[in-house]
Amino acid sequence: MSGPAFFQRCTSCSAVSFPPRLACRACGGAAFEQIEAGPGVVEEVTELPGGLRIASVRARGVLVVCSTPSAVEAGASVALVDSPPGPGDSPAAAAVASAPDTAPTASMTAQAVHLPGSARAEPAALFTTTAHIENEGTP
Amino acid sequence: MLDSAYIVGAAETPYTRHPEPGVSTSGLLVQAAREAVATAGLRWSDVDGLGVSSFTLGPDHAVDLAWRAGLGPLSWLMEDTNGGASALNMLQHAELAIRSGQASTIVLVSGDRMDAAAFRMLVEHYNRATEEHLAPLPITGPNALFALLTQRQMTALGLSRRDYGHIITAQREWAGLNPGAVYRAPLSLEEYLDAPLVAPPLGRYDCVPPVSGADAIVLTAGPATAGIGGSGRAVRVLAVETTIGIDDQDADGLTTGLVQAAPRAWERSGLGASDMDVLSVYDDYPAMALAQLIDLGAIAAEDAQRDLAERIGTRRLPVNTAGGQLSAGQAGAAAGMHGVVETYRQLAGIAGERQVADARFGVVTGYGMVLYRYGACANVAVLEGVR
Ligand SMILES: [Zn+2]
Repeated sequence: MSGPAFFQRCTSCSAVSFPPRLACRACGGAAFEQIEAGPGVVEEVTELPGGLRIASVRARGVLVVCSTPSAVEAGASVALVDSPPGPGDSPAAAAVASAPDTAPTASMTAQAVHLPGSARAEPAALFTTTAHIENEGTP
Repeated sequence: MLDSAYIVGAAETPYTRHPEPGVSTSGLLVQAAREAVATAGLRWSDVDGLGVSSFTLGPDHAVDLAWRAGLGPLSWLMEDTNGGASALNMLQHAELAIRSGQASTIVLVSGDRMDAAAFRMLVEHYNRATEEHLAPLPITGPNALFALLTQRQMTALGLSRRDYGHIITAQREWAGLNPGAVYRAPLSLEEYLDAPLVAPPLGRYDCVPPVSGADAIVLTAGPATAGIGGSGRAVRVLAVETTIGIDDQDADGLTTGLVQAAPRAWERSGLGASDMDVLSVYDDYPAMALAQLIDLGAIAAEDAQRDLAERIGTRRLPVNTAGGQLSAGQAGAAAGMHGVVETYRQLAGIAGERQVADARFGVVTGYGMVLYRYGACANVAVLEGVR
C-alpha cells in the first residue's frame, strides 16, 4: 500500500518545492517542513513504448512528473503517492480501465499516480558538524 | 585588453552510430583538437590554453588529457560539465582569456564515445533529481519530458505534428549536403508523420541519434596570425552571453534563458536576429529549436506556424545547416560545439556544397542540462567572418 507523496515547504516564506532544495529560491531560507502533496490535476500525458504513461501533474502549484498505471487524461484529478500504486491504492483505476471513455471525476476516488522520491522522511539537518576529520590531503 | 578574439580553425571527427572497440573518448578529443590546430595553420606546440567538455572522459580530467596529448606548458585550462551549454560556456571564458592575454592559442574540444552502455549510464545518472525522481518512474532519457513540453508548446502556439516536421525535413536536406552527417537520405513530411511514435507527440525523427565523435575550435588574438591554412580568414567573436536558471523549473519550459541572454548579445554586437546569415540552434528536440528561434527574435511566436512552413521548411532561413543533431547526430557533450564548428565553416566560406552565399554574420546557441523537467542553461554567441 502506497503512502501519500510529500512536498517541501519553506518555514520562512511558505514557498512549496519538489524536488526538495537545500535553500529557498524565493527567500533564501534553509529551514523546511514536509507537507502532503495533496490531490493534483493532470496537465499532459504521454506514453512510452511498453505502455508506461508519464504525466505532468500540478499540485499545490508545483508541476511534477508522475507515472500512472492506467489511462488518465488531461484535467483528471489524481492522488499522488510515494510508491508504485498497487491494486488497493486506486479504486477508480479498474473502473476507468474497463470503461476507457469515462474520465475520472472529483466524485470518484482519484486515481493514484506515482511520484518517486516523495515519501515522508526524517528532516535532515542542512549543516552537520563532525567532531574531528583527519586531514589526509588530496593527491 | 584586446578588442576581439578570433576562431581560426575548427574540426569535427567523423560521427559514428556504433563506435569500433578501439575508439576512446580521449582519442576522439585529441583527434578533433589536432585537426583543428592543423586547419588553423598552427603547430601543436603553439597551444597554451585548453578547454574540455565530455561526459565520458572520466576518470581523467582536462589536465590528464593535456598531459596524455603532449600539451604544455599551458597558461589556461578549464573543464565544463554543462552538456549542451558547455561549448559556449567555454567560449565565454576563452574569449576573455585571449583578449586579456592569459593565453594566445586556446583549443576548445568536446566529445564522447557514446555507445549504448555509456548512453544508458548518462541518462540514468544524469543528476541527483534524475536518479531519485525520474529514473524510478521508470523513464530512461528525456524523451518523455520533452513530449510533455512539446504538448504544451503545441497548445500555446497552435501547432500540429506536421508543423514540426518542417524543421526535421529541412535539416535532413541540409544533412544531405554534409558528408559528415549520419542520416543523409531525404525524408518526406509523410515519412516523418508515419514514423513510429516514441512518446506522443514525439516520433522517431523528433529524437536525436546518439553518436560517437568530437568537435574542436581554435581561438587566437588575431586573424593575421593564422586563419585557414594561413589565408588570414577567420571568424571574430562579437558576443557570448549566458543565462543559467532563468526560473526554478516551475514554469512551462517554453521560454529559455535566451530571452535574457540574446538581447545582451544583440546589444553588445550591435546586430539583431534579422542580420544573421546563418543560424545554429540547439536542436535536442524540434520544440526546443523553435523555442530558441523565438527567444532569439528570429521567429515571432504568433507567426510560428507560417514561418515553420515558409521560412524553415523551404530553407530560406538557414538553420542548422550541417543537419543539426537531429540528422548529423548527437555526440554527447560535442552537441553544443557542433553548431560552433558549422557556423565557423559557413562564415569562413568553407562549408562546401551547403555553403550559404555571402554568409558574414552567424548566431549559435547552446541549451541544456535538464534539472528536472527541462534545460536550465542557455547561451548565445554572435560571430562574424572576416578577412
Ligand atoms: Zn522561502
